[in-house]
Amino acid sequence: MSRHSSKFKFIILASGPVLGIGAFLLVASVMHALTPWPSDYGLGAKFEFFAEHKDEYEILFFGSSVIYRSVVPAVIENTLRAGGEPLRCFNFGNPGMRAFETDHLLKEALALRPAKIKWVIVEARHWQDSIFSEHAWTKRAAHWHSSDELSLALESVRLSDAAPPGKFFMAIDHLLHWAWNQTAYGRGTDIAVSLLGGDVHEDEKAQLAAHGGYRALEDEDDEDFSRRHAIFLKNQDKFKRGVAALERARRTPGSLDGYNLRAIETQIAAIRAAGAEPIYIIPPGPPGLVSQPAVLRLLKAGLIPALLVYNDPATYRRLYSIGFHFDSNHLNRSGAAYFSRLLGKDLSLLMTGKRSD
Amino acid sequence: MLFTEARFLLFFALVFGVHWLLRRNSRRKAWLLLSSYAFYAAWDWRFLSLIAISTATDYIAGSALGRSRPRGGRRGWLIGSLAINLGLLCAFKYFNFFIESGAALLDSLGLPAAPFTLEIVLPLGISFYTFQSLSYTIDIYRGQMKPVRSPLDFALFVGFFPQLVAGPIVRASEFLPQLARKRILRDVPFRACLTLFLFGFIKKACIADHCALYVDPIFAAPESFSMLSQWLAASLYAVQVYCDFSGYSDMAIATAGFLGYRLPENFNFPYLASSLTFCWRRWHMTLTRWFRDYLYVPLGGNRKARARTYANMIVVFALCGLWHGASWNYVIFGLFHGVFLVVERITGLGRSSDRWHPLRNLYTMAVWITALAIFRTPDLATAFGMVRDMFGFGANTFLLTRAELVWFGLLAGFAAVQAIMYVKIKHGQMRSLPGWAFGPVYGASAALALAFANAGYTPFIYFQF
Repeated sequence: MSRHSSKFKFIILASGPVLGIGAFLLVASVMHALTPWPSDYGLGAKFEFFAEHKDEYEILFFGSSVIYRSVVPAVIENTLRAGGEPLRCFNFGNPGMRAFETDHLLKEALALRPAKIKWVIVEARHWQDSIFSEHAWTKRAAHWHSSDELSLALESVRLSDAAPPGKFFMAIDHLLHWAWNQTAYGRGTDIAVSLLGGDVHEDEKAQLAAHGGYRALEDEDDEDFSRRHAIFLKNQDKFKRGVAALERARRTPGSLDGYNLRAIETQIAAIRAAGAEPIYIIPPGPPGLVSQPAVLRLLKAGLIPALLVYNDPATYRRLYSIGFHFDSNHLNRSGAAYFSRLLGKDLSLLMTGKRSD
Repeated sequence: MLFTEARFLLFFALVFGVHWLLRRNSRRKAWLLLSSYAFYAAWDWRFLSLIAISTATDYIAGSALGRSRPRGGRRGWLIGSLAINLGLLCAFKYFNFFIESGAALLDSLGLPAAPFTLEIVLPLGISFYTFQSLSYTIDIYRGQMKPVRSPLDFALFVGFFPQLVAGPIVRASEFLPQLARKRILRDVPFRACLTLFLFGFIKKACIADHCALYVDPIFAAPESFSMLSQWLAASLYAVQVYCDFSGYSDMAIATAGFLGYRLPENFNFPYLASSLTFCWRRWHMTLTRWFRDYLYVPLGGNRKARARTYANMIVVFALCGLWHGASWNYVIFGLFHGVFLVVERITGLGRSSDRWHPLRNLYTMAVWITALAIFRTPDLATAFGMVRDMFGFGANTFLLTRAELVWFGLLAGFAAVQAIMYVKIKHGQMRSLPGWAFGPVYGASAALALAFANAGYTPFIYFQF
């Protein structure tokens, strides 16, 4: 009798915390499922716009501000049309977007099952071990820390050549961002606003409809941008030294040791599962953003099916001219138009099987 | 490290686990002292030396006072303790303020001076632990308590981390006896502590930090906003500062409760008071009590002539204002309250019943909110400009945006919830949940509180005091 009653007492005692944790997880998962994309840098508007027009596009571009400011969908569409491929493009590029965030955005966009999607063009970047410092502890950094991305990011931490304490703290950072993501911490107001139909980003969506996701730096109202442009024009020598450094960096031998192969494999699998074919691209960006020799090794090893490389100042001298740049990292409107024509022609050749890099 | 941060939960889980695993009371206290110093060092380890100086000063002074005869140099020990504690407080908190104010005065008299100021950072919580430590020596001097023998107990009384940086200001007679007895885990009111901690979290992270989003831009340039917007901002600041500080106090009391210790209440629905006098009896009660017992009463309190009583009230509230920070805004805030409290004493409003009355409550809140406008603005010129605009003497309009109407709605909702809770508690109608329901309701509420928190690092307002 006493054994029964103590057993019963234990069940009663244990059921409180268990039910509490269960209710916490249930409500947190509902909130997580309702969480909209954060509106930082127009990311939310871009995703919402694409969700509403997903069946209109055959080509999607993903990557950082280098993609965002360099790929002009209208120019690429015209070039492709002239080459006999009347396809529509959408530029998903976003400032500060690194590999894991790109991967998350790409997988979420493809999960919407866009009907006509044929090509997904992704900026080749490092699968970084740590969180981009400018974004750490922001809603945006928390948003890409889904369980899948956490698992891939922890793989990068494992492969990292950082010292064990460094790896430990990087892993903790990822785990805390993941916990933030899973509990929708601080996103309740965004959820309420989105459920009530507010914050519909109408102006941003009109812009996106007109320009397919591209926005020239010259069109930004913020004074910071014009200041950046003025500084760039003042420090042209620094830019030229950067270009010389890029040429040297391209010649270093690459290695796949420590490369997060699982991340690239799952990305390619997700793209193919959506019925599209991946193309990786190294845009005419600054040095240091990509370990180009490592990406070339991926291509040689057959781990990526196609790669378009433009960060070669010797071959694409005009893409590295001062006149085509807004600042050291980004092309201006004319530069973007020139690059998009080049890219459109290369895509046309690639799609028709006449070019293979 | 804030109570609302994930790293605090990790820290507290470790403190809690080790505390209850240790069997001997002395080891538990040593562990809590070590944890408290680690908690403080997470901000700035260098200022631990100030806590050590305050602790050592009052421990030595208290012991000496306990040994000395009634007329045998007791006053010297008290003055020594006051000089060291208040000297440190003045040096770190008020030195630049007094120097700059003196220089400004000389300048206005046509005697320009080049003031020498110190590049110093305000040590976190210095106003709180200094007052707490001082009260111990004063109580022994008055013969109201005996000195504690264990330096460990005294160090933990001064440095106990739940209340170290922003109160409640605990009296030695409330806390030291608790340290003498070993705490028992099964005596911990877990449900009450969990509930109080969650309430504190909601007040701070969900209400106060969201109010700041509206309040901060308006207080930065109030002249750019309409009269109604300024009233709304000042009212929301009243909500913000209450939820921020009482939220901290709730979490501090709950945290101490999990470790088996009891801290005094600090707030009791101050915004439902029927006069400013009653409002102060319900607001930051441990500070008000400190000023009453260690300043107002020694000044003569209300035992002398009427004029002296009024003067005492104004002096106490001016110093109470100055306690909040080294700025003339705080002094004027204190004087403003002092004057109204004197008026209430003269008219009898402060001595009548504290039963809720709409007109009286409206008057109380109007005075309180106006005073907070002075308190929150960056300088006196802005403060006077804002008060002028709020009372319709500026060139402002009644314009409100649609978003501001939502804020008005939220403000009304906050007032309604306060009133309902107050009535229910007062009439004993607050029923606890049945055992089986507590877990699920708590879990769901915690998940919602996390979602509706304002993400980001927002320190508690009272940390700067």
